[in-house]
Amino acid sequence: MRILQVGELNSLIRADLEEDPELADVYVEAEVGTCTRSAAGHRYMTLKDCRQGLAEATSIKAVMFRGAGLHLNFEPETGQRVIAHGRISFYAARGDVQLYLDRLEPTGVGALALAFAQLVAKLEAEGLFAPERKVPLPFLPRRLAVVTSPSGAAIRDVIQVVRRRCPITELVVVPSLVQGEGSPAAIVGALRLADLARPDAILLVRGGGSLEDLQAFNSEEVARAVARLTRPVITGVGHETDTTVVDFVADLRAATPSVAAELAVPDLEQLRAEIAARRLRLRRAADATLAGISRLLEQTAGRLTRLAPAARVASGRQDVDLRQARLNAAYSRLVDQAREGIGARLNLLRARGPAPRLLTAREEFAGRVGRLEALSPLAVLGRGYSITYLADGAQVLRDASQVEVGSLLLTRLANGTVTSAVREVFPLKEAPDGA
Amino acid sequence: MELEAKGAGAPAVSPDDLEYEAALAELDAVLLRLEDGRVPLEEAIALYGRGVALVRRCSTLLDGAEKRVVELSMTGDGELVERPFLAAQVTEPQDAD
Repeated sequence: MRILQVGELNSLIRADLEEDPELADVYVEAEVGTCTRSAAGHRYMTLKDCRQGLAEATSIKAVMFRGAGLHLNFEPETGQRVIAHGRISFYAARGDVQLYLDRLEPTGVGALALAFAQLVAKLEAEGLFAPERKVPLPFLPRRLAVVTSPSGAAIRDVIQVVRRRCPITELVVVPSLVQGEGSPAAIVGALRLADLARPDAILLVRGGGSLEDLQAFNSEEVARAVARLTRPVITGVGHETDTTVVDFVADLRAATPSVAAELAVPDLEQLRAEIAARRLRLRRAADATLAGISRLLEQTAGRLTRLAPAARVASGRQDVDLRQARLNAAYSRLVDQAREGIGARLNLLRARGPAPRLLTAREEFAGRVGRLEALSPLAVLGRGYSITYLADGAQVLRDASQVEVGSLLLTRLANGTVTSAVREVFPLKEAPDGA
Repeated sequence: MELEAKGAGAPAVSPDDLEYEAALAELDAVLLRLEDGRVPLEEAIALYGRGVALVRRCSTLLDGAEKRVVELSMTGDGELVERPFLAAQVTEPQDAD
């Protein structure tokens, strides 16, 4: 027999240990003994057998490296019961057999927690929880299917919330057993039936209960059935603190049945208020646009009145048609310029305004100019606008309330007038003063 | 950007073909354009008309009668049956059947 060096012996032990596939993938239930964390972030702990009545506690060393520890959602402490997963190996430098942890879950209920951890790990590895698998929920669902017990508090909560928030959404209840023997198969069948009803989304809900009561929602077949559905599924199982496997697979997970219902439908009253606010904004924006343009027209017309007589006198009494054409053209340019905000050009024109010596002449021409001014809006009409008067031709139609069915209207266009009768009146119903 | 393109060039989809969210998004785009105040009159009028139609579409989608609650079941022949769900049977919270 050959005499080995310690290093050789340890290499042998290590090779032997690492050959065993069972030791490469072990779940162990244990109580945390000591637990320390190194500066590098690795956790070193002892895991003790937690069965009662053992004469002497047996333990094993365990290490969780920093990378694996990043996913911990709790901090292991002395005395805590855990389900640990990892591989056994041999730390040759010190001759220690150690459990190299990649997962650690706190637990009080060993078997269920173990099954839960294993199933979650398995489905996660298959990619069933992947974010890209999640189907977005419709914003305003027309039809919702609810898979649950027909006599539980859950369905009552869901109906109440949907009725209150969004009564226009139709609810299709698909009754199912939700606990006990046969409940996973019943839920799978109900989900399939719900899918046939072509809903916009499916709610899978159940009220609170003990961990055992919720087991159907931790079953692999239910989880896979939820994953297979192409329609979005919202789960709401148990109380806030409960997490079940279907919650991971669902497109959206809610803490309770009521919350699931709230996530499924929008609050109709709130939406209506939003639309009312936009309707008001729309009206105001349109009013502001029109007010701005009519202000520009008025300002321009005012300036033109002061300008026109001088232009006429100075030009030496040419015939009215020519002036009218020039005036109209000038008016058009002014309107365009004013609309583009070229105030400077206007000021220049105004500076060339009537000189005092022409005042008398101005009066002489006042009558003719008056006619021209009356005509000048035609330049604007020529560009596609029209002015609508009441039948008397004096009052401009500005408000739907000025007319009623049968009222006669006179519409002035660039090249003529049109009369018409009112067939229908649609006043804007939204109250301008809020509401 | 996409919204501006809609406002200017591309032929507009009929509001009746829009889902609520799409109609609301376009309405917001119309409002932003209109409230900007630098829109030429012709376009402002067109935008206003479009906005009114979109508001009407959204309101229509939010209107509607209160819907019933039905219970869905399948017969032995595999036929789907819907019948009114009786809220009266909602009594005990924990009955799993």
